[in-house]
Amino acid sequence: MFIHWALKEIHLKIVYYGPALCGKTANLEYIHSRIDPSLKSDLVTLKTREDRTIFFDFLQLEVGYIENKKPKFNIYTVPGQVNYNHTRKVVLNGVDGIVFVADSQREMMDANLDTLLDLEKHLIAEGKTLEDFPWVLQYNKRDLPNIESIREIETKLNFFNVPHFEAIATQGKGVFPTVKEVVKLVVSNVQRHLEDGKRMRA
Amino acid sequence: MQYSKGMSENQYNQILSCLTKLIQKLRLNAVFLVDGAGRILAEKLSESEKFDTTILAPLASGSYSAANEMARQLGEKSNVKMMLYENDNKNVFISSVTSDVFLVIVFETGVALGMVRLFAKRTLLQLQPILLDDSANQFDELFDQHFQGLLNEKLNQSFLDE
Repeated sequence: MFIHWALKEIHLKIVYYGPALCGKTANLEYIHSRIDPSLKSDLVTLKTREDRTIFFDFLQLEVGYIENKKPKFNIYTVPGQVNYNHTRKVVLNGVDGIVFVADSQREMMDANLDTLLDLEKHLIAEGKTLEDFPWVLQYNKRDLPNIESIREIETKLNFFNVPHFEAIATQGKGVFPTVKEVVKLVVSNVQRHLEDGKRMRA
Repeated sequence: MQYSKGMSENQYNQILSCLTKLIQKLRLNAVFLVDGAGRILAEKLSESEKFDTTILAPLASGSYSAANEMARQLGEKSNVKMMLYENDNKNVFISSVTSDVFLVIVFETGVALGMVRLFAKRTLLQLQPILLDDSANQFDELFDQHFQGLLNEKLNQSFLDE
């Protein structure tokens, strides 16, 4: 979180994380297509010729002033391919909240778990863990035929009982509930840290 | 680990003053300060410029981080000190101010690179002590009990099909 007191801006960074081709960019594309144009930046996508994210996608959302403060949400995706490990670490710098987009297809369960463990490794390097950090799970591609049941995915991925959402990101299903929940968790987490700091100084 | 970072009004005004002097001195297109998370800390654009620094900030931040990793892979121990993108019309010069903040300068190809480097270096030395002041990081309250509900309402209004 960064607070710009002169401009009364609160910058919060949210990262969409997940295995390759799970639908992270599709989430941002849908959000970008459905937001009031005056409240969003352009959607930047850094892709390979094969249309795969090579660095990150970026979108800034605003909601105007609330109680004389202007929250700004900087939303990023990471590249999902295994060999872009350092790039994911770079994008996570200063992260305030995470949406983990899991691919619901049965054959993707190992990749989902490996990527979640990769996320935990990067968070630890930032002094955070999945247990004490605001994040949500999105189970994407619920329209495909060969998908795992929600109960099974929950057992395999949701060890910390974080909020989860079923989604079909390409159709927009589940996209907004996911982003609203992570924003809510991020704001609550900021508040909790401030109260903890206040108690420690008292 | 520090949870949050902030910039006071006083810091911002001092930084803006440094950036304004730099842009006027060299007739630059734009000067802005970006952090490692891709956020704009302060910016100054010439009157004729219209580009969106919100977009340029994460791109500059990302490219600088990528260059640092390249340096690390080559066995370098410290961060990249400067980067230059040469284009047909507008060049971009990026220089580190602190380990997590850097200065981005956009200038016409007619402006001498040596001058840009010289004055950028002077500006960095002015900016460093300003950025060291961390008093703006210490605060107890940011949101009151109504903030969360109001934010949720605003988000609902922003999403066009909700």
